[in-house]
Amino acid sequence: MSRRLALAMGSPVSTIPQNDFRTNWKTNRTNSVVAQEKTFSSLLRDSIGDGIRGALGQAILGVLTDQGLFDKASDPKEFQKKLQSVFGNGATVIEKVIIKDLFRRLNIPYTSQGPFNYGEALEMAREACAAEARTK
Amino acid sequence: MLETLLASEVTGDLLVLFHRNPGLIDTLDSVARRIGRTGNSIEEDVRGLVNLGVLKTRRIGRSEVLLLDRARDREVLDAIAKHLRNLEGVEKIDNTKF
Repeated sequence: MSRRLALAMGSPVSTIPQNDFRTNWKTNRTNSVVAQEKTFSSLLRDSIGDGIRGALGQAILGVLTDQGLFDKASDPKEFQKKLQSVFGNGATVIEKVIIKDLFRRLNIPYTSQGPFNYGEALEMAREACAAEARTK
Repeated sequence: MLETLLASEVTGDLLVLFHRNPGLIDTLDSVARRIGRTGNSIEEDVRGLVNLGVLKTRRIGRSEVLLLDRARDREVLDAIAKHLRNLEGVEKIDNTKF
């Protein structure tokens, strides 16, 4: 029965427009993706903070924070560039410390074997974070 | 100093281990186990940190143990922080357009 016919016959029909389910679903999905990204960003910032503090202490973390290191946290390439400009070859060590901390939080096993790629490791963590959110 | 502290993944793991457990006193093999490695594989990195003074060794009975030298560690990290702060100042001057 069409909506108009149902109304004309006085049949009970939802007053919510038909496309609301789709709109709601899309909105919910968008909201959940945004929430997931927010959760991941927060986890990453915690790992960056705890990782750098753990390896090099609060004083150095303070200097890097003042220099805007956390502003670049969401952009792996920019973040790597910043670390490289400060620590040179040692930047990779800091990246590994951060990734280990992040993986530990997400219960992802970390292996030192094989080549290391900060961007790929972050993607893996992001996927694990999204998968965890889906199961909740 | 920074090169020694961040010489390898092992030195990074050692720094995190001792900074998160500043009272830790343990043998080389046990420290290695704590970071998922063997004594032999961390020996060189431990030597680097001992030479820098961040870690120190002590003999307890028949065993030689490793521990964090908190005073020296703070001294080294503060010196690096100061250096980084100065670098920031130099960069700001370099980037200033006259």
